[in-house]
Amino acid sequence: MNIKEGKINNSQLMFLVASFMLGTSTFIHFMDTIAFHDSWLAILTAFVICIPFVLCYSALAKRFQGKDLIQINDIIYGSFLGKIISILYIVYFFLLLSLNLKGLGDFYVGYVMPETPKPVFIIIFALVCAYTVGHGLEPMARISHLTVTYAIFVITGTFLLLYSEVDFTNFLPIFELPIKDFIQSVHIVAAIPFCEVMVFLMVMPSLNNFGEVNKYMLLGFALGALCLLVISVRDTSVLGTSSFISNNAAYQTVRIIEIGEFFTRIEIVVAMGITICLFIKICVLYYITLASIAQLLKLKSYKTLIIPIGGIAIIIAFIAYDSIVSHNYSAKNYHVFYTIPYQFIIPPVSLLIAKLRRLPKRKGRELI
Amino acid sequence: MIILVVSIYIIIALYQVPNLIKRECMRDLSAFCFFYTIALVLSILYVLDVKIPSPISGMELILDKLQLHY
Repeated sequence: MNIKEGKINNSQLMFLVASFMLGTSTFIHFMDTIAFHDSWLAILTAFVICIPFVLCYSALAKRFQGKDLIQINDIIYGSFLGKIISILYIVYFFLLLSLNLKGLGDFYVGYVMPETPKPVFIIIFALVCAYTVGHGLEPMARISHLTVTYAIFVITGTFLLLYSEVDFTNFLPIFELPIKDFIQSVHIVAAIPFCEVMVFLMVMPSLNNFGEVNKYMLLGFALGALCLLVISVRDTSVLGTSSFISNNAAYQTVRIIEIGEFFTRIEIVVAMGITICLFIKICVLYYITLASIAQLLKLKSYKTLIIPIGGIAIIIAFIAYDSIVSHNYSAKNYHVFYTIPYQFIIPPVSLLIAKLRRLPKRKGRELI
Repeated sequence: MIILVVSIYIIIALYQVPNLIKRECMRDLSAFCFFYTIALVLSILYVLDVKIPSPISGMELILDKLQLHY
């Protein structure tokens, strides 16, 4: 039984991964309060650490071709333990969906339209996402080319416009961060934007060709990481250590742009970029949550659950945290530990067990 | 406000449920009803200003007990 419709190709997967990672760029600025001007170093270190894990996710998808995470769990851990692990994963996907919706609301209320109530943004955005998810994975994958191109255009454009403000002495002195803070900031970058690409284990079964999945997954991951690195370098070099004062340094940096007297206030271009990348991210998370629930309950189609799951996600987004400060505190102290089993323990263990037990076994043309 | 929320939910149910019954997907229908009831109850509680405990605070409590935090 296959509840998923539509196929995507390798390059679409690559752009989807990059776009998914760029969607998180707004939510990691609290890292600047720990790493200060060394955040670029944390991003580079986390990138190197995460490469084996990303390869592990794609190797798992390649080994179990056409099977999603829920089916892989069933094959590897048996139907009882597999179901428990799958339910834990569904809770994780669902929390990510709610927290990203909440993040979008916070961003809009904090920076773009401060006088409008937050629920308005969250509900409208969730409705647009629900409409997109109703059309399946293919449309999302097709527009991801555009979102990544737009994001790269905005990042390079703002960097060039800010050239006169750039001061590379802001990076000095390097390596003076205490080791504990450095580990914490690397962990934040690894857990929140980078290894979240683990959710693509639910998307990769829809690929039409598994031959080069490793390469394209890694390329997408590297593209996303490079964009995040450039954003971080731009913010630190322009704002200096004061970048940690703002909750959204990227937005604050672009506010500085002033060329002549007429070319100002172009930060709305960045807000658009953040919105469309977050749109892709939330759509992917929404789709994944629905597909995994439908797969676990063996439903005929995931589309039945779009409205109820969206409704629950919206309410959880409202009640999750009292304020953005508690959200940031929880994200940097607790959330990073909560994600460890899902990103760094279960996928490598699954791959190891699959290798040792020589799974999957073949029965005719079916993998079991 | 509560009337608005309930009426939106009723309209959605009136649109979805006959479709599912017509296609004879009983499994889908029961899953839909289960999640739909949770969504409806949560929405009504939220509109009535009842303090709903956040699932995140539960997660934090467990991690606190295990001493797993920075």
